[in-house]
Amino acid sequence: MRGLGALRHEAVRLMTRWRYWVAGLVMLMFGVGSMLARASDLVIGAGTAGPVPYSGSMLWLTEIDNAGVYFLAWPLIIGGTLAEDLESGLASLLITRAGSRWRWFAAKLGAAYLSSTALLIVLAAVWSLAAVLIAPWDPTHAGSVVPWGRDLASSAPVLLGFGVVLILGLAAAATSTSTMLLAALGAGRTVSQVGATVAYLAFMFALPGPINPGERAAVLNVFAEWATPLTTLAYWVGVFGLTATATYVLLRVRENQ
Amino acid sequence: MNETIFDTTTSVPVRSRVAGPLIDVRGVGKIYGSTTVLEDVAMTVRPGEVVGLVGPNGAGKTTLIRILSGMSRPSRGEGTVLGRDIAATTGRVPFMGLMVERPMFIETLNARRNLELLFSIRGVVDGSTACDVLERVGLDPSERKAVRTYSLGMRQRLSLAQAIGERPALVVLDEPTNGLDPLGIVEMRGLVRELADRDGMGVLLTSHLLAEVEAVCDRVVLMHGGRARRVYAPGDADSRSTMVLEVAEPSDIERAACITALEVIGREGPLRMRVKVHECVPDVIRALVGAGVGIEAIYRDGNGLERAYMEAVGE
Repeated sequence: MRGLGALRHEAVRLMTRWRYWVAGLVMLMFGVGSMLARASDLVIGAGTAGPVPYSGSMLWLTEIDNAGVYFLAWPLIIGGTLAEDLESGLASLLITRAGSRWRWFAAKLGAAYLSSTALLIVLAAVWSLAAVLIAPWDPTHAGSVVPWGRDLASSAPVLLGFGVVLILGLAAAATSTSTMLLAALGAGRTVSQVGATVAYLAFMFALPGPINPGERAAVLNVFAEWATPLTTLAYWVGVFGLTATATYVLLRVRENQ
Repeated sequence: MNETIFDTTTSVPVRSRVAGPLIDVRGVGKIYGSTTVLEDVAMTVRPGEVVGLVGPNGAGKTTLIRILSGMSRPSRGEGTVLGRDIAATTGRVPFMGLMVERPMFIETLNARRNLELLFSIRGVVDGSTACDVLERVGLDPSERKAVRTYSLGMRQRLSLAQAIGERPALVVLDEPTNGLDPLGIVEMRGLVRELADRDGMGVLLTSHLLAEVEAVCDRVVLMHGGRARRVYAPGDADSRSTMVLEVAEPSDIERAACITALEVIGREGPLRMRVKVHECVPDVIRALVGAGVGIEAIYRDGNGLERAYMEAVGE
């Protein structure tokens, strides 16, 4: 493989799916809808009051509030490609072209992250703009919840927002990798996508706080001491790394069965 | 042997760097758990040669192709594909064109954009090659319709385009005629021969259409039960000397059997038989006429591969 051709191929493949754009639109509506809801008693996780810049912190709130929607949607967008490739034989073609299995698989993971982050950047920009526009009618000052770096939120809200987006992109890619894991276990496209969604729901409701994505979001809303950028990044890197490694090992084992 | 197959500055295969056969493997076997799916297969493909791989489902064709294309390691056996040791635990996958059975592309893009993206992965040819190769396989490079609107036949053509677009020294085609209409099958046959005869590529193809395989291949490996049962060569002297003789009356069969210029190798009904001719066809005809045989027709047996296949599968 020369350059980033395999990565480009996978990224274009993901981002030209209609589901990618429909999911983005749905998430956009949820995000803006959440902001509008803050103007009433239907505030969800609005946190403490107080004047803060809106662009970075509002992004956090809307994302955390809608994390379930976001992560549930993602396996349905990205995750099917590995199952498709294995079922159709395209995996053979792409692995041969990419020069090695690992480069082919890394391109898939990289494309998952890139496409997630690209969508989040667009969403973040729109959410931030909406937050600023809605601010005069936001009596709760919902943007006051800034889990990380209150100073950074004041001095460089865009930078804070960008950091958040990069980590959320990783979380989304990690979630989609669970679909790839199911595909490596032999599940078809639909089963792997639905299975990953069900598994995520199980995570949301069944697991204890530190390893439960939904619980983590709730904890972040109330400023857990340990919920620093570093621990959050480490958490998602761990999930991503473990799932990706397990998927790759299973693919290699499957070759010999 | 150098693993560089292409001169990337000209995109022309540098075959002089690939000494000898493109594929040269022996004793190849594959065992999944306790099941042997491939056993003691030997195969050679040289530049400019079209080799067929036929056999019933489960014969081991796909497993063999996976091994040859670097997708899977053999459990036993040795040899090289484009200079790469097939038994190597790691190593660069051989540079070959591969056409998979069910072609799949980015559905929302047109054919040209799909090719450009696929070519960009290896980067040995630039995007402009896409137009040339699309024309060559009979697709319109200016077509703006997305691939999702393509028929299976058009997808097959596009799949062939991606396989040959980088001018590989070796092309592996899995069921290239699948989904093609009769005209498309004829065109595909011509194109495959052209790849070998004009471009000097080595071609390995699989198909269930025995007549097509016989028409296009120099040699055919007949597989069954994981073994290469036989190698059939449509153009060799043995195949060319097998003829079908149709006579006017049943008694002509007996008279023809007495002629030394031919040998009866099988009867197909009261008025037709397969014969092996030992002399040139005009001399055989003269001998038949001289013996009073009423000749209705005599022609080369076009079902040689089918018979060889049935014999191989029936063993």
